Amino acid sequence: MTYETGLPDGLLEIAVLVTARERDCQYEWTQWETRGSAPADPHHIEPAIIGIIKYDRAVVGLGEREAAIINLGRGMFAEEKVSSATFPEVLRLFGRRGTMDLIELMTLYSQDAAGLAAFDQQLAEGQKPLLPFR
Amino acid sequence: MLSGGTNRAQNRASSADSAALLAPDVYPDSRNRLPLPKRDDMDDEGKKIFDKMTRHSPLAVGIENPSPRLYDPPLAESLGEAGHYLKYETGLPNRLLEVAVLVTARERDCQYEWTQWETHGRDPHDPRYIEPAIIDTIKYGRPGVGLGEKESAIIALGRQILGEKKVSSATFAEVLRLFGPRLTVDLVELMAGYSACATEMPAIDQQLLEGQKPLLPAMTPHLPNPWAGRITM
Repeated sequence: MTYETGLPDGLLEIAVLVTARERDCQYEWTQWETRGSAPADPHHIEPAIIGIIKYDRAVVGLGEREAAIINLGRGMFAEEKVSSATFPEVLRLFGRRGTMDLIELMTLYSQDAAGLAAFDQQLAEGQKPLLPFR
Repeated sequence: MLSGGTNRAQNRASSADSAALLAPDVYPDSRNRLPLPKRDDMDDEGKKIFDKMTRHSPLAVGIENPSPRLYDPPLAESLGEAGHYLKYETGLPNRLLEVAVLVTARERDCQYEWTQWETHGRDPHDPRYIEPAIIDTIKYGRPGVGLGEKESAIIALGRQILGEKKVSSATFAEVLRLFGPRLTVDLVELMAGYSACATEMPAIDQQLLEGQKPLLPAMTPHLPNPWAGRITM
């Protein structure tokens, strides 16, 4: 799901980050922000996008696909209901298959967040936590 | 979980009365925002997966029609196999499976899964039957007292994973003592899997089966003590 659906790396990065933010998953956030912030990494995205997700800022000034993924994730996790405006936009941009892939990718990382909480998974030695508390 | 099975729901949902009650972007055949995936639209590999994933499950619950995951057949196959294993092949007794899924559905406020599983759990003829007191303990966020130690441990584990997002050392040690490392991992993954499933439902706006009444009362959000006084009826 992470590597074979055809979702571009930058959009994968956004989908995982919004999931980690909404689930307050320090472990996944810190791994993925580190990659997303590294210019040489294929997952690199603009720092402004990371900031919008990290600090719950309004989704403005982004590409339509980036914005749609953030809105989808926030709807699924924070609002517990994806709006009738967001869903058709995701469907228009990604198609039925791509939409299901996105939903399942985010639910998978949500699943991971639950497992990490159960096992009290710590960051790697020396890693600094990058996700601020809400 | 979103599972394969028969087309009964599709047939039931075809009535005009049913469609009239649904939101405009919800399809009557699937009762969610995507129409049922069609086998004829798939390539040969997809058709093989479709047939495999729509076999009747031994203790089927949930969406009894082709899962929307089948829009990406390899995805449906991989997730379906993992879900099948966690539900039927880990060796977790049915009644404990029931407790684990119910506590997950409660903590995630997942009306769809709760309603399916409470129905099974209250049926004395169903292998997943559990005492009504256990269901009510979970449903209304009551303290897990007077239950078996395994049932209590699963409820505490689920509440802490999903409600508090942190499992106490005492709870984890108790789960480990009762279930051992392998089944502890299975339990965590089972609950994490149903938690993930509960996240899918609001995305596709999955509705209950036609005629089903919702059985899960709303939970009062954001109270400091997640186990006391949080239920509104």
